[in-house]
Amino acid sequence: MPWITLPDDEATPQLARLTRVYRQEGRETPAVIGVMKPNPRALRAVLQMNSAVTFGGSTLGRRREELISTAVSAINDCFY
Amino acid sequence: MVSHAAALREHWEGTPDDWRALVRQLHEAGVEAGELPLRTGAAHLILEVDRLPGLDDVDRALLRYALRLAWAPGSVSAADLAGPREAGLNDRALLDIAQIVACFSYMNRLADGMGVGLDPRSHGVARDLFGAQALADHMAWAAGRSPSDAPDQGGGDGM
Repeated sequence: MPWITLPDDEATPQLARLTRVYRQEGRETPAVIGVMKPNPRALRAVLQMNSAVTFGGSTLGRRREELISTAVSAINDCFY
Repeated sequence: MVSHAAALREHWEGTPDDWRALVRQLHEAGVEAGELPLRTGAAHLILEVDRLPGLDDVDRALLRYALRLAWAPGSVSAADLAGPREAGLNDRALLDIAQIVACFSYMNRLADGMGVGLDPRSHGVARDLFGAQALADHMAWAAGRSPSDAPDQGGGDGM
């Protein structure tokens, strides 16, 4: 669906490992994560950054994390 | 925006109407700010924070700083940290806000630059917030079509 060609989630053992958490939850890899599959090192680094900065990684609590994320995405005019 | 709005809804403590109004007002404020010079637009966004429903004083203080940083980063000064500090946020919390703004500005650019379409699990939230047409236009964009190329549900003159 994005404008570049992506490998399957299980195309390599490394990608399979990186996307396993989503399969275990019974859902697809979020598209904005999946788009990084051509660069697995970047995908892994961004997942680590995201979990350190938000998704409970901050001292602000989940509600305020998502309040800031929603506000930033809204004014950036990013529909995703 | 929609995927975060969906996550925000899961953690929202107010009413669904306030959640919906909050997201829509933020989006509209961004559109309005885009029609203004950069620093005036930032000031507009910061004033709009007072009108957002379902927020406490700490929420408003951190949003004023976050929105200025996201919209007009060159206009941020040390004085912008005074409000969040007075609201009780410590240095670690201030860093957390700046990192969340930076992190999701990165994710926004990635999504917009690569044509990333909204995940199916968030389509219901998108229709609730912005209507079926806005979702169809977005998915047409992600598929590399112009909105007017979106499949016509009503038939028409054919090819």
